[in-house]
Amino acid sequence: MESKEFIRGMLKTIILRLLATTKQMYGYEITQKVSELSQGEIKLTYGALYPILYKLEAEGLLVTTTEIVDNRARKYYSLTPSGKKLAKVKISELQRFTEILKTILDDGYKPKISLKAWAN
Amino acid sequence: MGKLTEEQRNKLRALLFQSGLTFKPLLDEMVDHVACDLEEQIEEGQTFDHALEQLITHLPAQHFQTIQLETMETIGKRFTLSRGLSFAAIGLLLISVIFKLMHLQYSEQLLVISFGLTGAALLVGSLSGIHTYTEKKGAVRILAVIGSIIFLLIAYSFKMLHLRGADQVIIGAIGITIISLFVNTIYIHRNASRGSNLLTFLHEKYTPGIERFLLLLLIPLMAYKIFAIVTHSDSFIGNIILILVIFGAGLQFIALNWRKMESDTTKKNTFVTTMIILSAVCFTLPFLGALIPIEVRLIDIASFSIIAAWLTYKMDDSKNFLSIFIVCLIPLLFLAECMIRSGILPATATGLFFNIPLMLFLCLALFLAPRHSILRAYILISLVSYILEYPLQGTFIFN
Repeated sequence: MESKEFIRGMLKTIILRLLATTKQMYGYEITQKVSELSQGEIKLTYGALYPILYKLEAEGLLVTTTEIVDNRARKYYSLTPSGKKLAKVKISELQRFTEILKTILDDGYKPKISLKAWAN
Repeated sequence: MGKLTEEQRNKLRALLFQSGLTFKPLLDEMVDHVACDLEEQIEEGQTFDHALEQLITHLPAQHFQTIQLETMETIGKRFTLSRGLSFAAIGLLLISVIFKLMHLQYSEQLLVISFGLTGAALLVGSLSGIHTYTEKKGAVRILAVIGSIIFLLIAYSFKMLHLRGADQVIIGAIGITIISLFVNTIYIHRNASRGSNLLTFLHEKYTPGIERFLLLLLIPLMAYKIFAIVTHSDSFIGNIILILVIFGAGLQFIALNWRKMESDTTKKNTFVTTMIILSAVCFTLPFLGALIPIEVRLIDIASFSIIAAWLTYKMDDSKNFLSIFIVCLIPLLFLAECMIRSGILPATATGLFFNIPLMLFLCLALFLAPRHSILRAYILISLVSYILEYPLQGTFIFN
């Protein structure tokens, strides 16, 4: 998907949503999950993912733990109680927004009032 | 199967470090992430070196450096050379004012060093931005704006050290300022696209820091002014710092207007562009001090307060009772100053427009105004000008 600005705007909600359904995830796992769920349409870059993860952590919405896996430090992210609350709100807001957007886009192609009536 | 060896991990770590990932927690995390990506490729049959080369080739230039910069800014833990220099500059500046108030030696020299550090901080910050965001346009326009500030700092250093040529440097600084503000305004009018202009992009990133720097200076300057009023003394050093804060706040005001033009195309038109250029000229000319007649400076200041009030009302998002009251009150104050000094209003009217309650109200309005807003920048310029002129005396301090 080429529309990077759409993804950037929604990335926070996407991450909160993934972590709300999983106990904990690490960076690579998040990118793989997003790619899998979007059937390869959304591929998160390092540059898009990490600033957001650190921001969410700084805001107290995520908490991290580090484990050594394959001799590498792996940082796992999980939601804090306030992160869980915000996840619910953000997911609900985004769902409502996409419904509204769908209505607008669908209606945009099917005008309910024909202008011909005025001409006649 | 496909796991990286210790040697490969070390090679990857060294490569990421050389690419600008120096913040250890982020470096560790990126090593793990990139290693996972590489292991995936190795499992598909590629060699480590080929997979690594492919991965690096497909990333934009300075990708990891940008990630680190954005991450550090996001979490507010960035302690760059630029920030260190600006904190040192503020510290020395405060010490210099204290030295002056206590009649100690070397206050002028300390202030000159502080100016040097301020100039270095601005230069380092902008060069770092130019180097990092090579895909964005406007390096020369940024350097012109920064150059004008550095020239002004040099000019005031010359004045303090009683060196010859201070006036010529001031003329040069004001000339560069007017030209750079004019060129930038026209550029934004013609090419308003958010994100591609390096100057407004960097300004957006540094706005909280710039505002904090100016507000931090304001607190000791208020204390200095109260001390000066109580002891009936007036220090040249204190006034120079006030003038430089006005200059900084003025540039902040104009840059915020540029950003508004870029982000809201309904506010990008010839009239707004003209008003920004006019405000820049009216704002800049008084810094020439005694090089131009006092009447011209007074008209410039009053005109700036009116034009900037209009821009604040037109461009700022916050339209409430406070903002409307402020954009009406401030031009009135500076028009009154102009008329009192010109003899149109009697000198007895001074107390009506220059008094402690009004100064305190402006202080309160400054802290009530939204952070990083055009309104706050406008109040800051006006408040510092008010403090500089207060109490309105027979001599014009702005020289």
